[in-house]
Amino acid sequence: MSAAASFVGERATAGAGSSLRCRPRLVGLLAFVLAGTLVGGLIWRQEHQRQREARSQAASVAAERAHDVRTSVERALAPSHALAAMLQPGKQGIPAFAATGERLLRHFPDVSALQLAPAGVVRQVVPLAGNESLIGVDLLHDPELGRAARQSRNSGMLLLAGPLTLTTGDLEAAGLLPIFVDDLTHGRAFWGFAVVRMPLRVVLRQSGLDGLEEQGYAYQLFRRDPETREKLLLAASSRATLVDPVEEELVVANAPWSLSVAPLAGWSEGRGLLLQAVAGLLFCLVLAWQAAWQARLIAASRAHERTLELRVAQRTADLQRFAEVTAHHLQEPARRVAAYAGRLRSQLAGHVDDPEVQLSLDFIGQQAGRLQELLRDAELYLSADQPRGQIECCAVEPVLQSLLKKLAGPLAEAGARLNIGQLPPALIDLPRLGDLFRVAVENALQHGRGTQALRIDVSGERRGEWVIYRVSDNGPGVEEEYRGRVFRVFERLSSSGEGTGVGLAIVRRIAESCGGQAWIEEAPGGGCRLALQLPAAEQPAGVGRAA
Amino acid sequence: MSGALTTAITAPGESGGGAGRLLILLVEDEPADAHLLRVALSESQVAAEVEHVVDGREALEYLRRQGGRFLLARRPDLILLDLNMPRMDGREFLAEVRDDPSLRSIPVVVLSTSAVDRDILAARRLGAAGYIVKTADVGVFIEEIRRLGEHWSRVAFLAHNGKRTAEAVDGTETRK
Repeated sequence: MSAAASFVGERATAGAGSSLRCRPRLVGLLAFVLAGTLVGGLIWRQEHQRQREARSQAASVAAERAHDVRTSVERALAPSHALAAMLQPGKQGIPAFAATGERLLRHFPDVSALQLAPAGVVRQVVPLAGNESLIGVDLLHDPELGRAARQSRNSGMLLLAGPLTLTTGDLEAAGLLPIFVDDLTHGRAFWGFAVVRMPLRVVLRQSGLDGLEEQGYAYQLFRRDPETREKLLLAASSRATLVDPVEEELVVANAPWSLSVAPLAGWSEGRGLLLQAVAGLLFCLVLAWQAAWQARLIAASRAHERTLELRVAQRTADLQRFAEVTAHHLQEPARRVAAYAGRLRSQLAGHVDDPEVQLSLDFIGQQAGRLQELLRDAELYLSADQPRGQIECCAVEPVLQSLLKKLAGPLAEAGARLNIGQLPPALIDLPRLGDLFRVAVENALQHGRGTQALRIDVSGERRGEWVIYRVSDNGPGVEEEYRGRVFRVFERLSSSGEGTGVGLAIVRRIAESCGGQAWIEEAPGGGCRLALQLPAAEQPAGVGRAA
Repeated sequence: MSGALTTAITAPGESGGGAGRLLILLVEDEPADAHLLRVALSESQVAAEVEHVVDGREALEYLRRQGGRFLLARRPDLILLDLNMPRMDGREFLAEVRDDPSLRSIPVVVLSTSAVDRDILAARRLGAAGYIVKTADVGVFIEEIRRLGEHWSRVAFLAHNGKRTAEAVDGTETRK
């Protein structure tokens, strides 16, 4: 038995070892994956938030610079309005244009040249030196400025054309202000253009675009060709394409321009992200290690619990076995004492005059008998939770009929009458069913005697999946406060010497081991009623119910 | 561990000894029970001779005439067997007897304290020919032993007579 138990223990330990080897790793891996997902999500979210803020800041910087660009350019275009104002009706130009233009150029250093183009053909230029080639150019049909000139004339609004690439490679923009004069025949008639030319590098220097690089931004100022949608660069920190830039639209003298801005180092902070990822990885590893360690501890604790449970079960079984064997072995000497006491009494019968000796002999016999009864009931109690035969549908009437025969003597001696009512079958083994009713009837015989003739009623009823039997007597009954105590082992309510105090404990143990229960009620006439709840069984074929 | 203790129990009116007496091998480790059995045999007036051994192993040695003590041992008509004994208990002894063709025919009656059906059935399954509950009521026990003695004396008598008749028939045929 101990060998088998130790084998079971080894298996349990081996099982626990296996769980120690496998499960903590799995738990650690799961914890790592979960923590990794969480940390990755947090880092992504934080980076997303940071990029959004960076873009917002870049957009703000771009809007500010765009405003400065517009202001610079529009200020540079102001001489065109002055020229228009100076034009006298009926004249083909402005008198002393060269001197006037020079004066204006001194006030507007960003402007490179002023032109007057009556009917769209450039007639006057200041400064003339270096711009002689511009004289006679028909703006309305010029390949570079023709479209803008026609658009300006048709819309009647100042229009900034360009970029124009100079022979030096520099870029220039030209502000075309269409001038209209009153005409007697046609009303208001197109006169021509006042043109302001400005080098973009000089004009945009005033707008602080260069400062963007110092702020850590790359930029591109451009306009799109209205027909081809081609990007025409006006100014840029670099010709390289910007990565996912922030774009600010600005309208400068009715020309749509765009300013693209992107951080020089890119939107992502690579080093910061790397640091965050390393920190996150370390965190995940520590967490996974912790989870695996905890799982290992839990697994070890469970294995320990299982081992303890096995030990407790083993010790309980050992104790039960020890108690059973002890009770069984004590039966032997008890029987011999009783046998030899009986023999001694019969041998000395008629030869002993001393009543004290006779009394001692009687006591030895009585106590040996009582010891035997106690051991018998103790043995029955210990084995009461184990079936002693096949669990089957058991009819109760034959059991009671057999009991009636066995207890015919005591029943007659007590003048008792046993009434048997309807008794549905129960699902139990026959020997223990016999024990249940034997104890119940013996209990009624021992404790049910009152002032009137003893009557014992046995009845039963089916209640769902259960059957409840009741063994009632018309005796003094059991006071309510003692109805639980009487089911304890060796518990007796009187010192009459009858009974061992184990019978009802046996009854309860049998009933509970079948899933049922046993309890004491008050019988209708005030006596004691023992109720037994057992699993119900279907009536076996061929077994009658009538008593 | 001494040799088998032989006791002749003679019923009143009988001469004692000889072929009329039942030879019983009592296998019992407890002297008190062995004594009680002798008392019961005596008081029930069963003409019997009792050979007493103290456990299953000694009983087998007796039956197989092993060792100097049992060289002249006689084959018993009946074995009365206690179940709980040291060295070899009653169940092991029953199994040995059942497996030995030369011993299988000797009837074995079990003496036990247990009156539980399960134990009685188990003894039957092991080949026991009878089962007597050792009760504390000596009167009941004597009565049980009396019935047992009467039954097995009759069986033994028939067996001995049958053997003699067969020998006589054989002798007649040989002379012819």
